[in-house]
Amino acid sequence: MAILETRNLKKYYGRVRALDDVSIDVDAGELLAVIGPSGSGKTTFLRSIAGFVKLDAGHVYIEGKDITELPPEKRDVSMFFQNYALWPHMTVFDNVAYGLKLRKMPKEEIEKRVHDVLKLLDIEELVDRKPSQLSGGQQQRVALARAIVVKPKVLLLDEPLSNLDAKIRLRIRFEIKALQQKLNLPTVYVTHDQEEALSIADKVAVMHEGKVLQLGTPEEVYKSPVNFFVADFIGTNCVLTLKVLDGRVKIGNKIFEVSSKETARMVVRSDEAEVLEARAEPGKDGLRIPGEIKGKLYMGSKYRYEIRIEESEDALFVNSGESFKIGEKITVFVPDGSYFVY
Amino acid sequence: MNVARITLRIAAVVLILFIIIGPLVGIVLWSFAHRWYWPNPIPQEFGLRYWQMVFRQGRILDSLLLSLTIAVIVVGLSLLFAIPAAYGFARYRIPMERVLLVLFLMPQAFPQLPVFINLASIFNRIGLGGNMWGIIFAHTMASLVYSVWIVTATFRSIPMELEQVARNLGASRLKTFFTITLPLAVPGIIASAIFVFLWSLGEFTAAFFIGAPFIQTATVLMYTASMGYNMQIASVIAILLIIPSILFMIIIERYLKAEYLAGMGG
Amino acid sequence: MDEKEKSPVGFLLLIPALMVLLLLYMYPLIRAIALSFTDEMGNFTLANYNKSFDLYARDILYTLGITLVTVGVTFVISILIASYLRFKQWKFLDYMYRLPLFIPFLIVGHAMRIFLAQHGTMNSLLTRIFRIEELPGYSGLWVGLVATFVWVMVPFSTLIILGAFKALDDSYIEAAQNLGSSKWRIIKDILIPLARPSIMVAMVLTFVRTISSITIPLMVGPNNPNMITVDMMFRVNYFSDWRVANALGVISYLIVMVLAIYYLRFMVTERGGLKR
Repeated sequence: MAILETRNLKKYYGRVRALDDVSIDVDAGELLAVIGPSGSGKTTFLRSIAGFVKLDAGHVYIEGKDITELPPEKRDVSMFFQNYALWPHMTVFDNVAYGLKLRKMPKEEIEKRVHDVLKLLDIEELVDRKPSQLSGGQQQRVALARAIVVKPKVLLLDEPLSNLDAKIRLRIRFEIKALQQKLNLPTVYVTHDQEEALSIADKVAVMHEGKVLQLGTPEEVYKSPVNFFVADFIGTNCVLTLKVLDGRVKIGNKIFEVSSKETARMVVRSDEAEVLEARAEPGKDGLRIPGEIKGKLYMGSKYRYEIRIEESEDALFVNSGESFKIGEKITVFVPDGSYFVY
Repeated sequence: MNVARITLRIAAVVLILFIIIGPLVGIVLWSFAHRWYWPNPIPQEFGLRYWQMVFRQGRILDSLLLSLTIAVIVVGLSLLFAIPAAYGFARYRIPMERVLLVLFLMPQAFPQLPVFINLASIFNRIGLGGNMWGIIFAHTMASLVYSVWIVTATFRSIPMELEQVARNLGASRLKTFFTITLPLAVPGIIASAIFVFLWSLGEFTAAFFIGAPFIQTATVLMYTASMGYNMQIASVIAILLIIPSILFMIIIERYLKAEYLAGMGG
Repeated sequence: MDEKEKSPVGFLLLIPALMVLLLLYMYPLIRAIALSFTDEMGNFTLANYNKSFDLYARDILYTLGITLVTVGVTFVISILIASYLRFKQWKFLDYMYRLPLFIPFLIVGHAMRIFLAQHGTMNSLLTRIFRIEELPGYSGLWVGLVATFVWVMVPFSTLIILGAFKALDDSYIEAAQNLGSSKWRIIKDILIPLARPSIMVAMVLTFVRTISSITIPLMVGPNNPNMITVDMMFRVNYFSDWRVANALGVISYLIVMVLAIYYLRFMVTERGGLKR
């Protein structure tokens, strides 16, 4: 049975639907990443589990118990706040020990558990500092320590890496994953960074305008997006607008049947696409679109090409290690499974 | 820097000192003057006679003590009313919030004298005229403007997340208020306490209409002395009342948010 | 998306403070208005207002005049100090201009009485320095009254205006300088227009505080004409005439009405009270 269950959550702010019938489960030890653009409702989802958003409808269950009406302090879920929200008037120790003190634990026990969790996160030496004396990365760890030390039933992470430098971010991503697995904590991880979500999650929920558009493993979401929005939101893409003739779209060597009337959109994973000489034959199956180089940017290890094709007004942007001249006729090759037509 | 600039700078310093410090020097000189006749620029005879008199004469000392007592109680009452109200404004959605905020500002936006005059006559009827508590109630009312606004601004400047984390970790709303919100608001609350204290200490109008002639606060006594051309006594009291103003002004410099101070000085 | 809690608790927390305000502010205020429109029998009458205008028309005009001159002078001096401190650092001036901020009006009144009197401390110094026999005194004259008002109003209005000036980004000023604007033009064309709301608030508060001050005109003002606050006090203390005093009070409310409403609206909307 799933530890965390949400059933038909609804929350409207006036006419804005922040949560529109959202139902997601998280199993023991599972990490669910919720992604979406800002305003998609992902944070509202998280805050409704923590009890900071009063739902208009729906139920939240933890270990089968309905906690929908419980105040935040009775829920036994720990939330990590995007801006860390460390209390400036308390030391690291007091920050981390706060939740334990509320649970009326004996002093020695508190000291031991704070010590253990700081050691686990490798920040023991910071125990007597005030938050203002910590770097961003250190603050992030203290906030994490404070959230997990109380051994919550569910861990909620709100954009845990967004305030860190790009370089540290990559490293901490793996640390969080390792920590979460070690503690076997069901975790909801909210982020707007789809790459971060794909790399860390066991399960990904893509949200848009309060709805869950797709829920699945990272591979499922990436390889078989259910609609245009998901296809476009995940990965690095180019979108081509194509003309529809008799319910069909023709591009390069392929023809697709589509349901849309006048125009269809094709999402191309530009990371997977290659630029080939006009007459080259790739060894694998895929989409081949003849085109012409219109622009070229030098990117260090490779070039970035702007490519015009006959079938669409939109340009394709593809990286390649090989050098082509502007005006040169080429073929863009996209392997099967890396393009989607809607 | 050339000579002309330096001269200009010195002239400016002298002018500023003359305008700002000049009037204050006058009362300091008077407080030590035993004899001072025109046209001497300083008193002919200096001494501590009037200072001693102030500290020996029970009447004057009593007024100073009365003023202090009133100010301290007013600070307490004002915060007692303001802290819950400010928390309400800062953390709850209040029906007609704007109307209520305006209500709390009204004493500042309109002349206070008519209100004090009528308050005095109401208090007279219910036995609070000539009574310390009458003055205290009037001061508490008038000081709510600063205390509610300053404390509300303080509470609002505390990120809600800091409270939410505490709730999330299992603290009730009340527990959160006392362990997180209140400690973080202490600087703002102290600032507001200081404003209220200074305001009450230097307030004349309400103290005069409600208290006089039965009880006299330091300001009322100073007024009587000054009007009776008892310049030395008036000056000694004036200096005693100025000292906290200037001290606090230096201490709380960083809380000087102009809008909250309107009405300061009485 | 952070919602404030919708709960009656919020309103409950306000109730004690609200009660204080209603009982000790609104009730006397309403009583003031009611008394001003009634006679001893409790019947409606305008007699109190007629009497007010008969006796005090000149004082009302005088009060308005003093207040307007004070506001004007305070405006000029505050803009000068604030502009100077916006462009240049001068710690001395920065501290000096704020010194009078918390000094009670009554004490300022007393100090100015001594300072500005004909044989006061200012003149005894000036006559010495410039070797003149006699100089006129200013306390008891409108000049002394305005000077005292300006002395207590400038720190406060400068504080507001300087705050607004400092909040303006340097780039506005630098862009103007870059186009060859002089300092004066920058003050006139950039600083003042951009800081207008705050300047208005400073001036409104200066106006209200001047017109409602009783201690300063009592201490340094002339005996005749008087500011209406002093008239109110005399009406109550010597004639026990609350009705005319209240009529004068209502008149002073009417004078500040428009300005007070502007101020309240500004504080509640712009300042949000209390921005988050």
